[in-house]
Amino acid sequence: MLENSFKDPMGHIIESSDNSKIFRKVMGAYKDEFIEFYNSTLYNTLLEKKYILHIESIQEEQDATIFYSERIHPITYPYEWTFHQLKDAALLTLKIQKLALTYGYSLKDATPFNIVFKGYQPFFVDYFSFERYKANKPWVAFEQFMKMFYLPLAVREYTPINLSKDLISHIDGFELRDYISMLPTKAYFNIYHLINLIVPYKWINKNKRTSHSEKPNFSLEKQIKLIEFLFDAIKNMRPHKQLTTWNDYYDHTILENNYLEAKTQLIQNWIKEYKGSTHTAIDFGTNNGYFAKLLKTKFESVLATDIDYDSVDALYLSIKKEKDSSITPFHAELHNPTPAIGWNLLERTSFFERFKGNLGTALAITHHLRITNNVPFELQAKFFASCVEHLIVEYVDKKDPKVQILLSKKEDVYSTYSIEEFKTAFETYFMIHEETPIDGFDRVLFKMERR
Amino acid sequence: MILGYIDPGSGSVIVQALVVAFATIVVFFKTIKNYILSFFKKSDEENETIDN
Repeated sequence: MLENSFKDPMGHIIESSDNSKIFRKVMGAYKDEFIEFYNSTLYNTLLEKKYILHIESIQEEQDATIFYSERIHPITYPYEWTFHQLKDAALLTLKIQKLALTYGYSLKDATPFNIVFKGYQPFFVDYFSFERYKANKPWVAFEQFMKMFYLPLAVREYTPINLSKDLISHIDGFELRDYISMLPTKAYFNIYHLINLIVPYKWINKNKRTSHSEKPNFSLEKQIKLIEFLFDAIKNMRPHKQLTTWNDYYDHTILENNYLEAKTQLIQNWIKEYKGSTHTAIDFGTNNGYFAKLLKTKFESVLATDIDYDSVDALYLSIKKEKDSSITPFHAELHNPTPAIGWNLLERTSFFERFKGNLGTALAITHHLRITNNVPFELQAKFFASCVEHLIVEYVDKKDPKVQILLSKKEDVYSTYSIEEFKTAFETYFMIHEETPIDGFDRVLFKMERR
Repeated sequence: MILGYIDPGSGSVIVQALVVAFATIVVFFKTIKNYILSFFKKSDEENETIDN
């Protein structure tokens, strides 16, 4: 049993010994209910609509059934998603809940951890969340939905704060009464937030603790109205826009034209010549995904990450438009990679456990890590070596105008910064196969292989 | 500490009933508004609905 599936006493997730397959074991009192769901029109409708992936019943035990399901690998977690990824996951959850209700079922959980992205597409993977709808009961997962989806989205709508990142430290979501205060007064004039969040959780339910003797009386019709209203509220949310340095990096920098052309040509050739395994590539510092899109011509799966939230969000929207399932965008800070969290630190795995690639590209980022984050080249090389077997990396010299901008903001304590230092550091972990300067620029591209 | 003993699922009837009560009023007026607007423009904005 995986230690991330202990919460549900009726169903566990089991991994095959080589980690390539996922099995789901359903048992106890829930078994018959689940088998009924598995054979229901709801299950088939969810499959047809591509809201879930097919699972196959493979083994029958006395009081348990085992199902096999495709493994989406690697998975990204909600704290690595951007606004539109979280929004689409929220909308999917509500679509599924409405559909479930119309077929006599309901979701007992509404957490973004139940959703997995395969490229642009979110899939609901917690099959054991479906239970029979109980007449006149309210939606048991309503508050969880508000704490884990609605609030982080609403906060991002009005502020530049990426609250979903804090799901790392708030694995069960945010206490609504406390966190509503993050919303500016402007949000109080949004009719959806007023009704869904502010009136019930800030003004009325402030100190109220309800007793268990409360009689549930919430008709199915009302619940469907509630779900539809939440859907409209979330559909209307737009992210707070701020202009970041990276938004139009390739469109508006002096580096444009010749530089990008030469770099593209070279990297295209290297990708073409590449003879290793073509399972996964990782584009570190992907920006608008320009090079991730080159990588996908060769690789089955491309992980594209950047420190800039808005760039990753724009990349997600672009692959969504193109219906691209091969690129997985996610937000991460390389100088502070996602940790493992939860019970025994095994519930959600770390950056290093999930993101491994055959080839990595680290273009125009080593100078940022070196100067902005003070990470020595040798530690950078060690980082890349722990993620990828082959590496295409760009060295940006101190004379480069971009490095000069970084240095103008702080004291130059980087007297040893040079191509020699760079090469010696990377040679500790990699063998350098090729080294090509970009004509007319103080930049050099390297092709390397891990020792 | 009382917080540890409160079932996160309990108490949501009041909240959900409240939300639906207000939502019904909003949806009523929105429907009228959209009906009137539909005479003036064809909406080709985001076509994602809860049922598709």
